[in-house]
Amino acid sequence: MSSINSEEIISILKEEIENYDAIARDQETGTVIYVGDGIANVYGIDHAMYGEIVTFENGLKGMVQDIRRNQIGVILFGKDTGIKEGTKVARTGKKAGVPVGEKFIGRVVNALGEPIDGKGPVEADGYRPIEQEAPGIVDRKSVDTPMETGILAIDSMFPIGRGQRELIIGDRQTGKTSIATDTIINQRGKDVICIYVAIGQKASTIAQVVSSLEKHGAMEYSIVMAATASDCAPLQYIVPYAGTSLAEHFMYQGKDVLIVYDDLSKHAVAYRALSLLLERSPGREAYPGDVFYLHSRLLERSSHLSDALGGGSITALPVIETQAGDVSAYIPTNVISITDGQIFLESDLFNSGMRPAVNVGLSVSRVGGAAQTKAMKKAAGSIRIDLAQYREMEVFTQFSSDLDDATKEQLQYGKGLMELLKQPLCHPLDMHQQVITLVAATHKKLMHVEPRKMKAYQMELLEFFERNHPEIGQEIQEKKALDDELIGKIVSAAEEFKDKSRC
Amino acid sequence: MTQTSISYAVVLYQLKISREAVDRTRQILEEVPQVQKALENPTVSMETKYRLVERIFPKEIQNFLKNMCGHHQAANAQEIFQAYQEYADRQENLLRATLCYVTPPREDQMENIRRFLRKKYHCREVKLHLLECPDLIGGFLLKVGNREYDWSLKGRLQQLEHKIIRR
Repeated sequence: MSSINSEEIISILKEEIENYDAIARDQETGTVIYVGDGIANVYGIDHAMYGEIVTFENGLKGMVQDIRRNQIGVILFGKDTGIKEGTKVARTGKKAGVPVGEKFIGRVVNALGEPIDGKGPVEADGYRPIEQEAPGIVDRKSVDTPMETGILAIDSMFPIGRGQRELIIGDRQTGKTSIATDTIINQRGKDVICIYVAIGQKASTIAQVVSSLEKHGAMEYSIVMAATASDCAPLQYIVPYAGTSLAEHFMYQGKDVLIVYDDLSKHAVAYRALSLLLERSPGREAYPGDVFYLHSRLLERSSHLSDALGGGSITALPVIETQAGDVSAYIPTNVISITDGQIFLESDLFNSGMRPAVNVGLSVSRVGGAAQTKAMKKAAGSIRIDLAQYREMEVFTQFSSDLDDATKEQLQYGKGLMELLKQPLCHPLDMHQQVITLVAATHKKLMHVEPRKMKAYQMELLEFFERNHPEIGQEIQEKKALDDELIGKIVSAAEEFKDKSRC
Repeated sequence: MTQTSISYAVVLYQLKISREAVDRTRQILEEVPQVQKALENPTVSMETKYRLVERIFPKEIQNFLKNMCGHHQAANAQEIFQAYQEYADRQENLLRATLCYVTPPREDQMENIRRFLRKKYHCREVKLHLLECPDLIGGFLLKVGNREYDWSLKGRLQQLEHKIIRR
């Protein structure tokens, strides 16, 4: 905490009291009938709107979430100690909102936009309601710019475009958050503002994410918005909407924003708790009837705006945790159908050392192909089919020892590709590095390398290109296209390296 | 308040039964809960209920009460009377307000408050209910329905507290 001595505090308080100008309050008030589990039922305040903020006598805020004939259900944004039967509640006339502004970049804030990183108050440029209508059809443009994750397996086979919503789905401990944080780290210098929304996570996990972002210099362009597991369900419920409002503030300024919701299963659970306490009828898996709308209205706000509106975008990476790989549960199917594709992570792959544990068969990106650079598209052309063939053949030849040379070669090639797709944490690859790797691999210039040495060989190869042929990388980055001449150059350089390598 | 109670209240008002009779009935039902219970009780025969109504209540309201018992609405009697009062006040352009005070207001202050309320709510008459609340510390608090005009020391201190801790 910043050091403030007691004299300073007293002088600030004195100043506040001297400048205090009380106004006669004309308020619409009601009284609490009963309270419990983060919900208060209020009699009175007849004209309160749905979603309006109300204040309790002790200063606590709440949001109107249920309107009945004689009473109003209010969700509390804080602890319910101090609220009892008969406590007065007053309307504010304002919808729930969060402060927004440039100064939030680099900060860790809670669901209400209050800083929780001990770096002092944040100066806001404005105030934005947390529930906003998504941009309409004419306000949008199709996805055309890539949002590079820096992960070879994703950028080559399931490219993500700016304005897309790509789901990251998998069991616990399969590296879902790592993919999200790697993507944030890879946005360095790419003029993208990143917002990491943590919903119902352990404070220690959030601290880890923040420190890893800080370590890689990613906090300079990132905002972390957190509602930890110890925060009440209403705060966990509003935090993704608040994060999106903050993102929209930047999007409407024409900027590109990446927002990660980690994770939406816990968000649905928080909403289920709220709904059950508000006595709404439970449906499948005890979720309320509007749980689909809960996520669809959130993710619909991610978009790529038309040039007339500044051309900004919000790319969303929602995370969903499955139980024992069951993607047919209620929330996973809902979010799969809302998003424009999913990256499916498998614990079997993860445990066999394939990290990131992306399941190539089940993952898909529905709109990202249009945003992929020509160079990457050309380089990655057949890799998905090659891998599918390899997997099929691997199963087929599991028990036979006597294989012909062509099959052996294909197996060797597939194994090499699988090795290349492995990538350590926090080591994103640039687009040209990915293209060089893919071209070298698909032109069978890495066939002689043993699988276990493949990763080291790839790193040395990339270093060799940076050192001896920097013009190739530059050309790919500038032109973003790959012609036959350039392919020839890469292949011959890879051939040249083959003789020099120690691997 | 249910729509049924409101409908009964409207009919009660339209029957032009005197306010005194209605108030008297309300008072009887409040003060002698046994009568209320007997009228509510489904095991008590209708004849007994009618006899009870004829013996106890003012003549002009008897038919209304019998009708209410006949339709098994006696349990909602208090709610109906509450709705009646609100409806009658609205029809007669009368406003009820509560004034909480620490030191009793002077007559001219009361008149000012009445004038303010008449102007604000466009009503013909204001009925001020005075209530002493020492916990306000100072000043006054005026309540009209759901609205509250807070000019008490307690309210102002609370405002200052919220401003300082920025909640």
